[in-house]
Amino acid sequence: MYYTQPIHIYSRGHRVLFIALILLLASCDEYGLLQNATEGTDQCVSCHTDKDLLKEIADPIEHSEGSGEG
Amino acid sequence: MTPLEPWKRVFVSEEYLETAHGKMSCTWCHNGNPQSPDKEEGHKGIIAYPSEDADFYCGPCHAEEVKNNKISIHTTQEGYFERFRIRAGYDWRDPGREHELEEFKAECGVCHATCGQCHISRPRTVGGGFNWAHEFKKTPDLQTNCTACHGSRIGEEYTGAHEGFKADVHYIPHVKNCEYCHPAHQMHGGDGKKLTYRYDEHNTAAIRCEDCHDDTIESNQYHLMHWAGEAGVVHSCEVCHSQPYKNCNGCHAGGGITGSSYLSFEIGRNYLKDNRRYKDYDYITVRHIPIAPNTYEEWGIEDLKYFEFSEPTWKFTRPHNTLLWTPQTEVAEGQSCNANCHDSAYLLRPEDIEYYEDANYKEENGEFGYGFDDLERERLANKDVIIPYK
Repeated sequence: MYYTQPIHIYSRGHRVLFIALILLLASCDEYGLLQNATEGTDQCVSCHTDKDLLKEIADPIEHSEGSGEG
Repeated sequence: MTPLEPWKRVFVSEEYLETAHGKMSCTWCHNGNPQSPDKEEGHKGIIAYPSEDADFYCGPCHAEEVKNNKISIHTTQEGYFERFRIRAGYDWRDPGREHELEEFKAECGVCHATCGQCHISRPRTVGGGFNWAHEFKKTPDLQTNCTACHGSRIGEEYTGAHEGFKADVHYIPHVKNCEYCHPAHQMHGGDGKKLTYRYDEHNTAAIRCEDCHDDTIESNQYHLMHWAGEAGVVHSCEVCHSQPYKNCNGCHAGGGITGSSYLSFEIGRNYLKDNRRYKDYDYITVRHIPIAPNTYEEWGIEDLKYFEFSEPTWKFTRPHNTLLWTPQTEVAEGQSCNANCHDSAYLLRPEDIEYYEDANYKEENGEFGYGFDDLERERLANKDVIIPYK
């Protein structure tokens, strides 16, 4: 019979844990994950905001056809 | 269009870093390996155009736009597919047509607008690169976005780039740009109907001249005669208010006709009498498009089986070079108002259907690629457009 009503397999404890997990993820998203995600960005930004460096090392364009269809 | 210098294509401004998108991690959208100080290593796995997967990268914040945009003809490119299908009798996406689909993707398919190619960078077809040092803009730029793709006809006509002709009366630089008539709603899927091409009768989000100017239908004798229909025939607005525009005779696909483009102005019969949005016109402006039975022979498609039974090659066009007074509307003193139009060279006559190849093509390549039978097929294809002599 247990498999006919799967909703009842979750105890009250499970539900509390589930809600806690959601809250934890939400706070991570606001404070933690975003911070982690920006780690390393400094490296990208330091080159891509440096005009002089880019003028030295940026790759030439492969092609440019000009204005197109219509 | 002059391509951006290499450094400008990838330069990111400090101002961008203060914007909502600029506060996100670079790797969030672009991947790569920012821990490495080495250029090659740092760019390993980089995703240069994240919005090619708009669901994943743009969708979480811009769900509605991403969802609507899926049926935009900028995204689906359905115009190409449908026009080919009705001429060939099958679809490039049919089973067994994988080779042709690959050819399409490599050639016509590259003219495909992603979110980023309108709102962040220039289209890839003109070399790409950040338009505004990576800043995102809600409204694409007329010069570096819209006419980067739609430049050789629409852009040049609209801005008055052709020598001897004026800019469209609606063109006020930096004030009335493309979005004035083509707002975001239309660009992002319009009214939610799947379209087969721009003049699809279901394209109800596309603005017509009449939508803004319908209060002038009785404002003068010309409108009464040829718009309200008192003369017994109705003209599309451009028949009176358009300047000469570009006609194309050579296709990017390489095969078929090989002629150069040229400016002309041609009036034909309206062949769209089954189209609910355009059926009221009796006469329309028509533009030659570069298609021939053998256009796709380099892709292994030797003939478009239904070429002469499907679509004209002189097609309905709404040139973007509108003026109040044009060579059609200005007559010399004492002349009748119809002096410039009736029985004029503007009318597309049977003899106007011809070989659309450069005169020097034969010298360089031997015979015309476009033979007698093809000329007959061209005439048949345009039978509903040509204005016969009475």
